[in-house]
Amino acid sequence: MDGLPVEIIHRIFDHLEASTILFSIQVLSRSFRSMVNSYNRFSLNFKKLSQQHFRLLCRLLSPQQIISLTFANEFDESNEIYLFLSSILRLQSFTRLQNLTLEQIDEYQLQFLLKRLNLASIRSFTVSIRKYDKQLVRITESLLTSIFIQPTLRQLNLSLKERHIFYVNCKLISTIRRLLICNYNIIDNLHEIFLCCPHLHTVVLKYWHHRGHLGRISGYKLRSTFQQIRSLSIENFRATIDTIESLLSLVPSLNYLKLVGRSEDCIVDGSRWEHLLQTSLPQLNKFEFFFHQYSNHNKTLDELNYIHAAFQTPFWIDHKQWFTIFGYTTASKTDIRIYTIPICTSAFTYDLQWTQFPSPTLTAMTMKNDTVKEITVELREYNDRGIEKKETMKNYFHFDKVTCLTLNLSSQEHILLLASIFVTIDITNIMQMTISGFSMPPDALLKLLNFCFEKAHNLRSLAIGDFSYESDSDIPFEGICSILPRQLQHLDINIVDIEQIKMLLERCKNLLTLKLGVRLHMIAGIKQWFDDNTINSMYSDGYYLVFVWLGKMNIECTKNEMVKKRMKIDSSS
Amino acid sequence: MAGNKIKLQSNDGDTFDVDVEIAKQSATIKTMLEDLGMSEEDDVIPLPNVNSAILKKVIQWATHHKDDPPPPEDDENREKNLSDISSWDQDFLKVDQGTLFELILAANYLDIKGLLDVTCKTVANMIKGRTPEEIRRQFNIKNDFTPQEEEQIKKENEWCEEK
Repeated sequence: MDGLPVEIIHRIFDHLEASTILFSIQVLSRSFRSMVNSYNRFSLNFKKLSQQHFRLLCRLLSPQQIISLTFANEFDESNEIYLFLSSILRLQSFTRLQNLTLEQIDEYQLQFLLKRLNLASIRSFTVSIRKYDKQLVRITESLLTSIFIQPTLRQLNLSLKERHIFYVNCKLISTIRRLLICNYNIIDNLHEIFLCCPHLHTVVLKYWHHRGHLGRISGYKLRSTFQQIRSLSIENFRATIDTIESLLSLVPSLNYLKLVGRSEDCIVDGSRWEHLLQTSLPQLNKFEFFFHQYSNHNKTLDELNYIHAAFQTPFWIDHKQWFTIFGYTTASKTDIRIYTIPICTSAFTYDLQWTQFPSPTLTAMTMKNDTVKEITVELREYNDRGIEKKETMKNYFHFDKVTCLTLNLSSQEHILLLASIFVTIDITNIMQMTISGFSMPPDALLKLLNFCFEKAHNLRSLAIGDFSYESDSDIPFEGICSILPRQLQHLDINIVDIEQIKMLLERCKNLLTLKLGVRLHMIAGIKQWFDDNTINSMYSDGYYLVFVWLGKMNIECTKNEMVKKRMKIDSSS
Repeated sequence: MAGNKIKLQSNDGDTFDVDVEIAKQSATIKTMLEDLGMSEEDDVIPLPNVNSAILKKVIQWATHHKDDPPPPEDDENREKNLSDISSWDQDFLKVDQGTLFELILAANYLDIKGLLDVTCKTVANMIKGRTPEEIRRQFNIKNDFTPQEEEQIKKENEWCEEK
């Protein structure tokens, strides 16, 4: 590899994390050290880092080598951005920043950063605010507007709370191409934003909940159209079909449309969609959706068949070839969902209380749902074994790219059901797993965990929920600890005794963070334990929990362990 | 010869007939055809930096990806998402290391952004999650640091404690 020209090696570096380049490649040989030193497109992502690497990266990298920065206060209780701000003294020296991502930042931290960072070259800016400060609202708005009109900006991703509104003066001009806004609920203002962005081609709206006047567009604005917008996704919406129609009337040149959300009204009316798409969106060549409609009254099977049939006309099947799966809640028949296949959402729930059936055309097809990254298996209320009737769904439920798995179980018999579901998921790609449930005997719980961990070789993050045992002595903690995957980096688990921390750290030596569910009286003792046995651990506590970003194990502690081990060997010999 | 085909010649003399639209995925060939006024019908385009076996693979890749949308403008969506290599590309790139590096060099010379990206990502995947010693073994890299230099590196990367 060291025979490749340096510009190619640098292109390979473009696909690697800064920590890999600095700690694994720089130490390979002299020539690689020199190639790393001359690399100036570092992308620094401070998420999921060990505290050691976090501090080293802050110390070793020169700000001029960095073009991309990503920070997050990853947990409600943590404050990693504060650590960065206190570690970096020369924020003004980041003169080449092209991408800046700030997740779950507190408003005062955002202002501190934006006032100091040099964003003259910024191409992509992403922010989600965790804690607002009433007194800072105006300043934040003005800072966001100044980024919005940066001539280099191409991509803007904003996650704003309802009261924190991003108003744009329509006399401004922005060069953005792609806009993502979460929790932005005033549809009328989108008109102004579109007006300011003549090059905008892709719009994503997430968590778009409309009620009352917020969901209306002023009459005169409905006569405007924005031909530049070619792609629109509205995800996690809760809105009426009328509101969605109003919005679509602004963007008649769409060639891609994705709609994911729920509604009480006739969102699953196939005939209305057919008419709307034919008359208002003639250039649309890809339409993906996941609709969920809920109501108070039980539907008859005839009504359900009628709804399903409206998506089976020649327009859907022959002309557009948009195939769907239709489902309803088996017992109540009140909730309906219909979605295109392959599934267009990043998260999907296996809920066996739904009856689902596909377009007849689909039965012979094998579909890979590569967009789905998170799967939830919801079996808590499920008492029917029903494995056989799920067999037919295997053909079009193939999930090869899932990295996050949540299991909500309540019976040891679910393990059998789980085996049938696991056939459709590539477990080797799972990096994050959450397991919770109740009424599971200790030996069944251990069997379940063993089953889940068996093939999950890439598991890095694990949360084991409360299994509601009557007394602490029923919890098979030692058994759980003895089968935890050793490669875990993030663990969320309940403990009832401070000594159990040591067991966890001895088993999982690669842990970076620990989230401990605890009794209130244990919190002070836990903090003391980390002060005594580790260096620089950072912790914060919440309601019945302590979050720890682990520092270095104390040498004294490590020595003690070695002495103990030696004693053990001596005594056994 | 059909109007929409051109001939590409490898450095070992083999000639390949290729659809113009497929060949134009290479910005280098596109420039030759459009700016330098090379005729599609008569001229043979020599590619002195690519041998026959690699050119054949490049044409196979370009043919499979002929209907792909153009790559995003100026890396606007550049993410370090290494799992987004399509299964076809993964199978296509199951080759020995030498061939993989030659494909990278060819993609660079021919300026085929999609192929260069996917080949570089594949190498990055081979590095990710490995220790320095494993990377050295994987790519046959010799550790030529002196003991003093090793000590210096170790010092630089030492855990920095709060003062």
